Amino acid sequence: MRRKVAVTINGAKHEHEVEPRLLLVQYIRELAGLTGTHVGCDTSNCGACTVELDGHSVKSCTIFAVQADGAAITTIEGLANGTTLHPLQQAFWDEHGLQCGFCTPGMIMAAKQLLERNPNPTEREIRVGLEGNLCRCTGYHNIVKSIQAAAKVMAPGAERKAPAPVS
Amino acid sequence: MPEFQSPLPVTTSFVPEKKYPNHYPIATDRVRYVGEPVAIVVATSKAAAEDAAERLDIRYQPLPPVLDIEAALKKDSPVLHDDVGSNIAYDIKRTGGDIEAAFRDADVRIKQRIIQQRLIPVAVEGRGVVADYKKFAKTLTVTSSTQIPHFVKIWLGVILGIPESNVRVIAPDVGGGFGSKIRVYPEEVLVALASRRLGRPVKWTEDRNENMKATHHGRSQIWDVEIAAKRDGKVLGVRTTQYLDLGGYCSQFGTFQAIALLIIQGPYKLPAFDGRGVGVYTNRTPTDAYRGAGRPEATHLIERIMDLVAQEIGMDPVEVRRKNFIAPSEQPFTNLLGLTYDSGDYRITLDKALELVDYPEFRKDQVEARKRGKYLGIGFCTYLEICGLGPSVATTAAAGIGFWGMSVVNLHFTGKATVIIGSSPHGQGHETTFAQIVANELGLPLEDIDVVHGDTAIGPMGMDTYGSRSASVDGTAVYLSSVKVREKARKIAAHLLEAAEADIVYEDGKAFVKGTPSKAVTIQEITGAAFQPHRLPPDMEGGMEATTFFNPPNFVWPFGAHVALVEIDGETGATRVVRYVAVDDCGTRINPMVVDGQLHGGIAQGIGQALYEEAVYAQQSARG
Ligand code: FES
Ligand code: FES
Repeated sequence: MRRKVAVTINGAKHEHEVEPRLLLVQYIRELAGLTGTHVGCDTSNCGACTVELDGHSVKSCTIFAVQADGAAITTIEGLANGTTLHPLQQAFWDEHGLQCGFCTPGMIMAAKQLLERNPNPTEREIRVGLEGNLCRCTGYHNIVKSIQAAAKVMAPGAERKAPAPVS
Repeated sequence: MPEFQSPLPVTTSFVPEKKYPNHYPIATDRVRYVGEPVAIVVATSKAAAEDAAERLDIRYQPLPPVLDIEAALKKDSPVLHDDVGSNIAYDIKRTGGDIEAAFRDADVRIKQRIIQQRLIPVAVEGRGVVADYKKFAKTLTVTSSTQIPHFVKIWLGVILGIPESNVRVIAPDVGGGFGSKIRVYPEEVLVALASRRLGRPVKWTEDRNENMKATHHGRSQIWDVEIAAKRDGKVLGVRTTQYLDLGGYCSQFGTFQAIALLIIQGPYKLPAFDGRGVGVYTNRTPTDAYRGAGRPEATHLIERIMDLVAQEIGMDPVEVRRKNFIAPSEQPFTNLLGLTYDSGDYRITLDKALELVDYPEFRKDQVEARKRGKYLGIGFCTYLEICGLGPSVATTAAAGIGFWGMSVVNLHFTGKATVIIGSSPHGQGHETTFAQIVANELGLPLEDIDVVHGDTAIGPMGMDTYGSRSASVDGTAVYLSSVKVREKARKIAAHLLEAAEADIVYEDGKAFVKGTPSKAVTIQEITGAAFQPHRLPPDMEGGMEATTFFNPPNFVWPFGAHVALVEIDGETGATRVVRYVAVDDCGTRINPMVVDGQLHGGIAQGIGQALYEEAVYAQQSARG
């Protein structure tokens, strides 16, 4: 028994008939074709699948696509403004916050929410805030540095130095 | 198994007295570990395939399992492979110096068992394979999350009976490996086979549960060690046995972990070594390379030896290390197993690390803290590592394959460069590091250099990524190709400027006659000329491209000193790392940020093994 799901992802409308057991992450990757959102475990452990759903960061492997019906979703692909990277993306680049990059989309989506709730987090608050996101490559050190750097740029009133455009 | 022209590969020559039963990609009669493929279900969606797999009626006749090394070695243990006759795959010796004399002359003799627990590599991206066999053209294209596309290409051809030239393997951006994607996996063969049978593309992605069971594990070793030492702190000899749990089958590079026996000596002047390696089959997931593959085990062993001696004779562990260090004047130093270290002053990194943690002050704090019921601990590791796999002759002896590095540096008409590398990174930053090498030699802007890898169709055979080899071996190949291109550019510049080649200076992407930099030709102009034969010297071929197959003369031997300061809860034993200082000498750092990043990750995984990780098998199945 298929059910209709209509969502907005990064501002674009998507509508599909899906099986009720289809996970949101599979919907995003396979039906919407946005493979920036990764699957590292599908058991809510790793956070690689983190996306923003109606303003909340969620693990999209832990939600059925049908539950997201009507929602507005942002994925990693929706962060950059044209060729200008989001400050978090730029900071991960500048601070070498990724190695294989597999955890990175989830890290950035989770960090975005973290900074929205707490624009000036301490190192400890960043580490605790990202407990639900696992990385096997970086030892987290530069991920924390990246988020601290992004926080500075994103802080209300901070002077935005325009990041280099992506070519 | 008529579908398979060959079993899965096992690299054997390190352990010649081997007994390796044929390992086919799918269980034939017995299932020997949880995670071994037993059936393939192909469907049009993951959910449908899982539904169908649940409906398969597979009946197992339970056999008594062999769940650890000690059980496997018992006389009356069930035997995994009847044709081997016991659970021992190999039993080898690696020795040097006079071990009997060492123990005879010793003041102290210490015995210790050291466990290297079983670990699961857990790259955050699991394995995934897409195979597409084209029936008419008889070509196979496989996209796989692998560290070794070139090896996978060869072995898919061999196992499935397809000419190698008809197989293409693509390893796109791979989400981490740490050794776990270093082998030709059963699933790569099976997915390719399914595609050949069905005549359409077939995809398989492991989930985390499968990854934990079917992707190989690491370590899983027992080390028994006997130490002979003098009261003055000098270590005279080490006798040791490495019992290595190979798992249900010997994985492709499973025996490579026995390389530990060659380098236990580390940065120390050990007079005698008597090493034995025993490979053991158990009903567990095969083990193979994981973050260092045998080398961390060797380091851990010799560092524990230093600490045990210090404890036994009541000397500062730092002093014991200093007493045993090879002196810089003895470099290049040939160790007991015939390997020659190129250089190293091991005192410098240690001194620097001690200075950073303020060692004397720490010792005072430690005493004070103890009075207040707090336990502060300090751990040292003054390691030496065999890296840069490697020189072809030596690696053939050690690993059964002659390694080398490969690069192609190819300049386009407009002076942009494509650089093909033989290694296949999965997070090590080769695109950046290798582009820097080319930029440095040719004076090209970084953004004009495109480093490509991980596709067997784009260039000659490469040796892929593992064994801390990429920067030193393929990086050198990139350097050498860049130099060849630069030399050609100088020749063309001399022709264009109507000067003698000896008078041409090449600097920052420009060539000019010595003394007249204002009349320079740029590398872009030179390259443009290279594709117009009428502008070239009469005996020169066109193009600006160089290929290098680099066979290094030796391994590289980075070293360093790591110090961990920890706080231990006296009641629970819970340990917290308060500070960790690493001082490493890896030679020239091409990109310091990338080097630091590798260290951060390695340290985190090391702390993981020390304090948090272990793969444990229940001694009884749920059914008893
Ligand atoms: S894939 Fe969703 S938490 Fe790991
Ligand atoms: S960068 Fe590889 S898992 Fe985080």
